[in-house]
Amino acid sequence: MMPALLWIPLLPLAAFALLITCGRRLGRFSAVVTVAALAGSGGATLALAEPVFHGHRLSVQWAWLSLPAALTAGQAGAGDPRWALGLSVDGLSWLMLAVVTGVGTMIALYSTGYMRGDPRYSRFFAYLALFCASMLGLVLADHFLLLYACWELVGLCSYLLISFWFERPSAAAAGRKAFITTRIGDAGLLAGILWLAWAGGTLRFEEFAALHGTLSGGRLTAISLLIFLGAVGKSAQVPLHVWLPDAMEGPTPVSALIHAATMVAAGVYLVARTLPLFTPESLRVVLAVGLVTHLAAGTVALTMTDIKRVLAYSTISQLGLMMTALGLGAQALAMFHLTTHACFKALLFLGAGSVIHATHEQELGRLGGLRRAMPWTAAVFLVAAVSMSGVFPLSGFWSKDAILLAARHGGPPWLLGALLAGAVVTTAYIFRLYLRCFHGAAASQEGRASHPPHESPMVMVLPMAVLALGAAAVGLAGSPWLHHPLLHLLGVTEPHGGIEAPILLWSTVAAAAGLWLAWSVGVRRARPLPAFLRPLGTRLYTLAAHKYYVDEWYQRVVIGPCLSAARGLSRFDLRIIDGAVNGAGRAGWAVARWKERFDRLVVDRLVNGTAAAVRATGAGLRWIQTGIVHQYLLVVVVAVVLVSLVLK
Amino acid sequence: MMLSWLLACPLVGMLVVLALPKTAVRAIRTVALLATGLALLLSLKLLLAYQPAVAGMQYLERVPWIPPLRVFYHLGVDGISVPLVVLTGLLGFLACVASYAIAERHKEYFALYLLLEAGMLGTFLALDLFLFYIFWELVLVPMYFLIGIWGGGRREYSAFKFFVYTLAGSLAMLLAILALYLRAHTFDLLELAAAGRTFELGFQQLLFLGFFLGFAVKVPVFPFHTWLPDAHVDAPTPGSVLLAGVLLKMGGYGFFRIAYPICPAAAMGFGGAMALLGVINIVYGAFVAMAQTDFKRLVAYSSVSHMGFVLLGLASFTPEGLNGAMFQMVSHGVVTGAMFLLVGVLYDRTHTRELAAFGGLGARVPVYAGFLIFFSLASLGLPGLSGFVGEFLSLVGAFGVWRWQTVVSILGIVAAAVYMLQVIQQVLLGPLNERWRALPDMTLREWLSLAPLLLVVLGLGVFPLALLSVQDATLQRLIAHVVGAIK
Amino acid sequence: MMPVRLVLLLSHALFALGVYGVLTRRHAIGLLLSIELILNAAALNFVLFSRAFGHVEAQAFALFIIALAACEAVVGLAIVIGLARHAQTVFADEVELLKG
Repeated sequence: MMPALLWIPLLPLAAFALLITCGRRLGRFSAVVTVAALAGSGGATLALAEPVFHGHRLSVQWAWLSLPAALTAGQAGAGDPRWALGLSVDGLSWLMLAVVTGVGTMIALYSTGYMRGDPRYSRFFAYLALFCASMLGLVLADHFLLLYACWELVGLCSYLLISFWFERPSAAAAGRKAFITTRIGDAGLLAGILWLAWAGGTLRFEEFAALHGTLSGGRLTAISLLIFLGAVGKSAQVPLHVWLPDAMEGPTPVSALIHAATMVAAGVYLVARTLPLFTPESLRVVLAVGLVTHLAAGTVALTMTDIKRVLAYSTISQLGLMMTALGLGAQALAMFHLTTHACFKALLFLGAGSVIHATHEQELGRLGGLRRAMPWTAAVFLVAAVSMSGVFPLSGFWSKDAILLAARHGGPPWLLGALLAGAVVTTAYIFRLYLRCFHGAAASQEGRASHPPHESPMVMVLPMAVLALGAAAVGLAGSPWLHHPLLHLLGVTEPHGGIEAPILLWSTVAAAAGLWLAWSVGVRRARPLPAFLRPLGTRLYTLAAHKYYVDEWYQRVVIGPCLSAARGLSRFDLRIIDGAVNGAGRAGWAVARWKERFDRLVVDRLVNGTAAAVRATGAGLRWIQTGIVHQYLLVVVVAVVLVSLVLK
Repeated sequence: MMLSWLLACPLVGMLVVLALPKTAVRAIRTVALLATGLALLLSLKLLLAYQPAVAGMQYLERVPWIPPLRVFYHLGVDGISVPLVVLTGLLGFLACVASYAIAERHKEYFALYLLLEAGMLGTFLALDLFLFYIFWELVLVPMYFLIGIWGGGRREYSAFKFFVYTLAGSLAMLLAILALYLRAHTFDLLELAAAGRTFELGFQQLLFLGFFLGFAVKVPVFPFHTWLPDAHVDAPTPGSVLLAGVLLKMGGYGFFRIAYPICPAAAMGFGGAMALLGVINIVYGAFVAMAQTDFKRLVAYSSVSHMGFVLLGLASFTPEGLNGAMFQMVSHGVVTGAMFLLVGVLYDRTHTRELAAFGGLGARVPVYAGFLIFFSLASLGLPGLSGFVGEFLSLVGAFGVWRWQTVVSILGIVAAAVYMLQVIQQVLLGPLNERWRALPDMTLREWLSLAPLLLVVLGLGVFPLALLSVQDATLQRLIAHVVGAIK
Repeated sequence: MMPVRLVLLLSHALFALGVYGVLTRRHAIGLLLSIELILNAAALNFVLFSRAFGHVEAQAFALFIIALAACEAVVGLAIVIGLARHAQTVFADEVELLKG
């Protein structure tokens, strides 16, 4: 009997295997396979709830690599404990499991409607299943190596799904950008893992807490920062955030699942999981990165005009908020916000997908007044927006408020102010989006006649409704009203007291301010700034609208030099190294040719010269030989006479 | 006798092919397929019958050959050679299947092909240095003709370069072998390994340099690598597969079998240089690959990059590092072999290898696209596929010893993603290039030659113990031998 | 008794005549005849000195010379006939087969 634990990742994996091998024959049925597998995983997760809530830890292990001579010693299967991988579930992972299976099932269900008629319908669900399998594996991993493996696999699925409509060059490029950018972070993560394996001697998460005694602070800081680099890449934090907005080229359910609710949150999960390794110094870095991301991405979201891009920057910003909470050491609060965020952000994306599905349009300027045509979508979108703005008593309020509280008690005084400013911005951009999409006049009528906007089919509305319920109510699980069951699950024994009135007041004011900004500036185009500040305002707006020129900067400082380095090295290889080889070859030929010439001109000529001399002599003497007998005789006679005269 | 039978398979096949009339193309192909298939089966049987727990040599055969010189016909296998023999058997068979695309001079082709396989098998089986050298050189000749006659592009130039370059390398090795013989009066590798430890350091270093030059050209180690892109690009597809899959491994195998056991102290001394060269191979090869526009050239340079991990792992002298190096050799053989087959599939249809000439084939040829994506991912080291295990183990092993070299080589992994995704994007993604509107998908024969490799890559990635358990004990013993020589 | 000097004079004259003939005759048979003269001059000398000094052996040489002359005539005439056949001429100066 396989433990329920194994079923959780294996069900989607089996679905993937089935769909990738015979998906085409299954046709429309492929969606059912994936949805069923995910629902099955969700059921298994629920089955685990009881022991987990009682603080138990369940695990399964097997030897993956087994190096040092374990086999020769005859203890087959035992292997090196360092490389025994396993799955285990505790409160932290259970929460993530619930998010992934819950949101995953809803989004898979939604996709059955959204992707209808796509030529690669079953391929889509295969990738989705593979993604869920690896994401669940990532969450369940009790060993860093297994986590890394799944980490790469979810990156792969993200790549495949972003590039799903690969006929569009922009989609292909976006997928590649996402994979490579996150891989830069992963390189840091890999270095961190290697260092940890070497210095700490263990990669098992449960043993990390003990490492504080054995490793020096500096080393731990370095290792934890390298790990954080991986999280920065995956969770699209500054400065590796550039891939996420482009990733919106993928189908919208993918954006909802991977690029809002689960995979990008894996970075937060990673830091939460390895938090025992983080020293105060590295936490400060986490805090700074999170805060900068939160504010910078929020301001960019204010200026974007593409629905999905607004939501993408909003996701980056909210992930920054979670990182900020982690930087405060508040692991449970970050995970709490992750949970509520998964609900409302997935819902926002699904709502946006519903709009795009209905209108084939995602440019804000050409949308408007959809409230009447799509009442359900408008309603759930509103719920999600309000929840995200942190309005009492929806989910977002509880998680965000808890973070504000932690900032007030655990962080420097300016931190609370910065987070409140972030809250204003958050409300402003999300209501700007909502108002311009669903309210006002129905803009730009051309083309509408053929495509009258319509409410999405039931199979899409239903998951949205379920998620809306979550966006409204999940937060209660972390509220003082129910005595914080969620926080207990995450191991917080003494949660902060109740609702603090000043914080409640401040956050409500922030939400109201944001709402006013969205209404007056975003919709009615008022100009709140006094005249003398306007040039500055325009400047800042341009800066934000160009996403702070990060892409351009990368192009100039990183990509360009890398490509020219590649080209340069290639030329170097061809000209210098291969040139040297060919040069050596040519030198060999040259020597050979020179020797050949010496042979021909000197040695051979000596031989031929001798012959030629003899021949010349002969030719010179030829004239004597006339062939006439009389002459010969005459010579004889004369010679005899002469000889006899001489010898006389 | 098992090893001799294994060695005899391709040789007998060659003789039969030579006896057949030139026009009996079908018969020639069948004989070649049978011979390589039998060799594959025998190598698999060897793998199953091999006892991994016994670290020493198994299936020894020793017959005097040239008694005055004390040369023996001496064969045997251990955990280092078994995986490579199986790799040779597998790729030899699959490349033979791919050889059906050869269109002219079948008789000569298959005779040379079988001779090549015999040479490769012999190199991995020989335990007598003299015999080893003969097999080592024997490989050159058929490969020279395979490139020179059935190749494309500047085939005469490439074949000539390949031949002369590797021959020059093996001359250095020959010098070392002679020096070794004059000193130890034996060619027996096992005796030499025992004797080598007692040599003084200077002599060991000279020997190591000689062997290093011979092996470095084959691996190839930067800066001796430039024969490789030319030879790969101009060789026919099966030639490229064997060149990348098996011939490069002969260099790595030489380090494991000869250079390390015989000159352990020198090997330790040169570890730093080897690690540095490994890193240069990894990063340099990756960056150069990034700039290539020819598909086959790109894969060739990616080979340079991947073989760098073998060097890095070798230089670490740790169990993880050596295991990683061996694993990487096998994995690279399978993955790159498959990549060359894939390039060949595309080239047979389009007669071009320019990456820019393709585009959008993903929708047109989905099966091909699946295979290409799969093997590209294996090549860029995706966890769960075999490439990752080798790279990871090499890095883990090297990290404690060569810290900065290891960290820099991680850059190579990032770069691998860049160039491999570039291939996928330029070939498969984007709008379909209208020139290839009628491009047919993979035939059954091509599918059959790639599917086993896919299974191997996936199997080794998910269950690396399958290979590690075969080689680990032997490698542990090698490390004990090398490290023990220092103390 | 003939004085030796006279006979010597005769033989010298014969010899000179022969040499003259050899050098001037164009006809091959003339050449042969002249050579015969030279040989007879030599034979005469042998006979003369044999008488004068009492050496009988020298007379044998005279006989040798006669035999030799016969042989020479045979070979010479054969050459002449061959020449006439081959070169269509019997004049010695018109043949230059030995010209280098």
